[in-house]
Amino acid sequence: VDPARLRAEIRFVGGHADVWRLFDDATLLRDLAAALVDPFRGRATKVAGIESRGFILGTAAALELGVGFAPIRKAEGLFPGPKVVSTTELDYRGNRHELRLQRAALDDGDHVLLVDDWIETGSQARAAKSLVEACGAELLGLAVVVRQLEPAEAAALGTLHWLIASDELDASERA
Amino acid sequence: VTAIDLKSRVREVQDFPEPGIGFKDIAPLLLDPEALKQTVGDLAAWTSERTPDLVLGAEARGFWLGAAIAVEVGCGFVPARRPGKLPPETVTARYLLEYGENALEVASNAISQGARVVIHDDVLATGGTVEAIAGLVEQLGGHVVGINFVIELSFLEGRKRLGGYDIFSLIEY
Repeated sequence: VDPARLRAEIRFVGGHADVWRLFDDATLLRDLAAALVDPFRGRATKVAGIESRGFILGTAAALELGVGFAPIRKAEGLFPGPKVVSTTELDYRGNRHELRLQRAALDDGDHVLLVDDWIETGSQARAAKSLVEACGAELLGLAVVVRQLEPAEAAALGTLHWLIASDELDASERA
Repeated sequence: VTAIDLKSRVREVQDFPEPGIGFKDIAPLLLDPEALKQTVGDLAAWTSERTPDLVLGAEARGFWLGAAIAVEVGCGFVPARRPGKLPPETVTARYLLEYGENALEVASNAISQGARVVIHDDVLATGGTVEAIAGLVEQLGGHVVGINFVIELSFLEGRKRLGGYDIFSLIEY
C-alpha cells in the first residue's frame, strides 16, 4: 500500500486521527488486509481483533489468510461462555479497559496474529498477549496500519508489522 | 464442495444474558475458516445484487462481517458508532431497547446524496437498531437498498417492523 495513499486518507480532526476514510474504499480495504497479513502467511493459525475497530480489519485479514477470527471484547458487550480476562494499563487518557477472550476461541499451539488499525501505547496489545497465552496459544505478532509505539517498546509482542509510522502522517490539521 | 450447515456453527446459550433468553453466539462461525468464508460469500452475493455504493455496519457486532462483505462486493464500508466515537460532524439516532435507550451515530460526510446503501448487522431481533440506522442513511440523502443479517429471530417479528425494506438473513430461528 502506497504510503502517500495512507497519508491522504488519514486526517486529523480536532487533534484526533480520523481513520474511517481507510475503510470506505473497497480497493484500499482489500489492499490493507493483504498488506497487513503478508509477513504472516503460512504461519498464523488465527487472527484476533480488539473491539471495535480491530474487528473491521481483523475479519478481512482472517479471510485473506484463510484462518478463523477470534474477537476480543471489552467489558460491555454480550459475550457468553467461559472467558479469560485481562485489564489494560492506564492509557494516556487515563482509561483502563477490560479485555475478554472466549476460552474456546483458541487451541493449544495456535499461532495468533493480532490485527488493528493503530498501535498507540501497546497497552491493549499487551493485555491481548496475556489473553492469548492464558489459552495456551502464542502471539505471533501484530499487524497495524499505523505504528505510533516505538519498535523497541513492542519487542515483547512478537513481530511488529506496520504500513506507516504516525510521524510520517500529514499532521497539518493536528490541533 | 458441500455447503456447511451454518446453523451448526452457531452456539445457543440458554439463559443468557438473563433467564429465559437463549443467546445466539456466532463466534464459532467466525472461528471456522470455511464457515466464515461461506457466510461472507453468501451475504456478499445477496448484497451485490442490490448494487450498493456502501455497506454500513453497526458497532460492534456489525463490524465483524460488514467490512468483509464490502471487500467481497467491491464497495466501501461505513460504520454506525456509539456516540462520541466518530469525528464531527455526525447525525445521531436514539432508539429504545427492551431495557433503556441506545444511540448510534453516522458521519455526515460518509454518505453522499443518492448513495445506495446496504445495512448489515449480526442479528435481526426486534429491528429497532437497523430501523434507526436506516433513518440516518435517509436523513443524509442515501437510499437503503437492502438490509442483511447472519441470524433472524423470526418470533420477534423484526421483519414486520422493517416492512418497507428488502431484508435477507442466512439463519432463521
